[in-house]
Amino acid sequence: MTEMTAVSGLGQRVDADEARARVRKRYRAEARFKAYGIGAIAFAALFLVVLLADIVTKALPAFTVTHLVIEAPVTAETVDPDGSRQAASLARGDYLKPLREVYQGFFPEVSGRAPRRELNGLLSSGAADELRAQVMADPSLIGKTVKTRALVSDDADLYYKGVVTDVVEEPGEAVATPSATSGEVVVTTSTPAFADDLAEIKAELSETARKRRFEVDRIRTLREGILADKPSAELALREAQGGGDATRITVAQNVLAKIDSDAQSLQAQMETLAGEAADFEARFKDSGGAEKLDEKLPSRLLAINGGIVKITSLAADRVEGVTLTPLKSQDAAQPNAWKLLTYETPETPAGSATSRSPGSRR
Amino acid sequence: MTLIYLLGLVLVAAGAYVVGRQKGVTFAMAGGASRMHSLPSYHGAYLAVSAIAPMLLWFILWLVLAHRVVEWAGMSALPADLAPADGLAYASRLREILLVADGVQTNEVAPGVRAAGETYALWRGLSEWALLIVGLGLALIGFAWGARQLEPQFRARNGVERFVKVLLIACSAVAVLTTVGIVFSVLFETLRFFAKYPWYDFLFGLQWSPQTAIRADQVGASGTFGAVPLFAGTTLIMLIAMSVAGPIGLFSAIYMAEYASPRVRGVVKPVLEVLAGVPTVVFGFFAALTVAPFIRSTGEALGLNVASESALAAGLVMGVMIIPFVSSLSDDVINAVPQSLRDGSYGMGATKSETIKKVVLPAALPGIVSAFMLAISRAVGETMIVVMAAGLAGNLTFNPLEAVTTVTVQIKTLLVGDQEFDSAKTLSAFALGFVLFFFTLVLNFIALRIVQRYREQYD
Repeated sequence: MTEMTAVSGLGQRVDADEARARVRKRYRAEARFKAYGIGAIAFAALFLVVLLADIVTKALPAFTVTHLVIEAPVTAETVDPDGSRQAASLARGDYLKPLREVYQGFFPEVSGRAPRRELNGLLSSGAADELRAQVMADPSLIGKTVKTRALVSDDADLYYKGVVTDVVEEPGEAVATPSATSGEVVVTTSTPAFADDLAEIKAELSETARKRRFEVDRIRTLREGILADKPSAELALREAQGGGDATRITVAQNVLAKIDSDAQSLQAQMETLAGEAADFEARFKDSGGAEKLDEKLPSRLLAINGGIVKITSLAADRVEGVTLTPLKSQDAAQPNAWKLLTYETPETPAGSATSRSPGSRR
Repeated sequence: MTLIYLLGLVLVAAGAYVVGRQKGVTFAMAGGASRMHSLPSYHGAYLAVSAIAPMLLWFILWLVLAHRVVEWAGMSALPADLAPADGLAYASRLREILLVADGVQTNEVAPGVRAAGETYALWRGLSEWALLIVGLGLALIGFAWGARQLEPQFRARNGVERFVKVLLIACSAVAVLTTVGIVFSVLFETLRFFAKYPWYDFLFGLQWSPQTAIRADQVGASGTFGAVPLFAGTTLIMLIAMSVAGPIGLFSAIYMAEYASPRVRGVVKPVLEVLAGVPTVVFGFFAALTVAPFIRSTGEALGLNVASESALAAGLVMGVMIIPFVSSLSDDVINAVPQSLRDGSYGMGATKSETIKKVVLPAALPGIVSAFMLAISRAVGETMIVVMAAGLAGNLTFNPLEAVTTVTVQIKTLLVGDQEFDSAKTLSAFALGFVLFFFTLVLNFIALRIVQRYREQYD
């Protein structure tokens, strides 16, 4: 009671300016307070929505698989080794072979054992299951060409689902002229169509260098943490030697050896990373014409004249590369008739060599 | 045999009930219902209870004692040279005897063991018959005792109610004794741990590295069990979680209780409760796979060095998880504040928010504090989210961007996998559990005291 009379100031008019201002202030506080409540509920609801959306979007791709639809000739020799048309014989047949032959026919330019093995690796080992089931259900298919679905391998499946890397497509802005149709190709453009990409690569270089420096710092801390245990380990060794207990000496020596080897391997990692960072920084600063693309940077491919060129070196109006699939012609390609594809995830992502640092095994 | 016994028990109860009720009805017919103390059905129930109560007691006694007696009989039938020397040999010998007694294996055992097995089987049969016969005999005695008491003036209802009361007390005693048992088992294991490792090093040690070697020449043979990093990590994550859940939960509760229309409330309250219904594993991998990388990349964009498993990620998600605890409990206590208090405040010209801040919240304070305490003990005891998102390294740090570990995570890590049960490593889990238990106990105690102290102030 006393408090109220003290603040309200008897005799003050309610329509005085100060009184009005105070009321406005109190109503503002009121609105603010109510907004806090709405904000709190909105946050909780938003979080729930994000949580559910995240789970659903991450879960959905798991319910689908990617198939290649292939029309494969099924011959008796490959799928029916006994020639008896019996289930036992059909089950032992090789169904992968016809699929692989057709599939390799799509990529005539792939030759040699290793590349072909890599190509076959994109088909799942269970790719032939559906064909086998089809033929076993209906042996009259033998000798015909059968349309079937071949399961692709897990890596390929994830690529199609967009998990492996983001792919950015940019249409070509100038007339581009390739120098050859296969092997090493130089593509020149009428205007500096790759200037933006060059700048982007420079930015990526500096960003990668920064990340490497970051990693170096992290490993340095880790290494210092490990080395900090060294004095106590040495003390333990001295004590063990003083005590003359053979097992304790071995234990202490092992501890010490592990500290040293961990520190050494971390040191080596640091040096590699620092070297890479310095290299990237030098390339970033070097404002010369062409920039080399390697597996530590996002891959860039040129789709031109029905073929694909993997770029190894890029300048503002000129790229060099090797063909992945050969070009159909050497003609100059008009603007928008060719495009540049950027695979955002580098072939060897940053830090992949360092993700298994010994210190992380604590 | 136990099945037959329990079946018999039901039959005895039903029979005794029918007889007793019949007797009650005859009393009523003879002297008029108004002169009876209890209804005929209570006479029936009284008779049933007096018949089955001794049966039940005998059954419990038999469950506790019979197998010991049988075992003792089988063991003492063994010849002296086969008698087991220690607990391990005892268990394996008993297994052999059991196999013989069950008729699974009668060949390839020593004749002494076979004889013991047969003795065992004999005694087992005897004990089962004893259960049935003694039980039925006791039922008869109880029945006769009860039947002799029945008369029109007999207070059968009071007797039945006394029995029910005893039954209820026995049930609650089971719950209490279980809790006491848990406390003592944890306490004794903790004491065993402190026999191996000094308690002051455990409570005040700064390094947590529970690596005890299995072989003597292994690396890391000496474990250090300084639990301060774990307490620090737990506190850090709890603080982060509470700084999310506290304000958000409280403001949601205030809005729902004071501002929201019934329709909005009908939508929002279930939404918040869904948040409580999400399994903690799901929260865990959400924290580990979505929130933690997001925080890491945001931190890197700002030039901060963020570990991929950070206390911040775990704390944030855990905070969201316990929002419903804070909000629904606070909502209830805010609703319980008498309307007259609000009306008084409005009458004085206060705005709604002023009423809430100056009148409703102080009145609801004890309930809100206990809601917070519950949320804190939930945050401290939560395991799955921190296992997945906070990491395992016992860093002594208060930097929310680094990986920390908590008491619960370490308990889980210590007890998962093959470990001998009396090593300091395994036992330390009990010590951690005891500390955790003690902490939540203190929190609950504080919450109770606050509620008691302020509860009736405004009613």
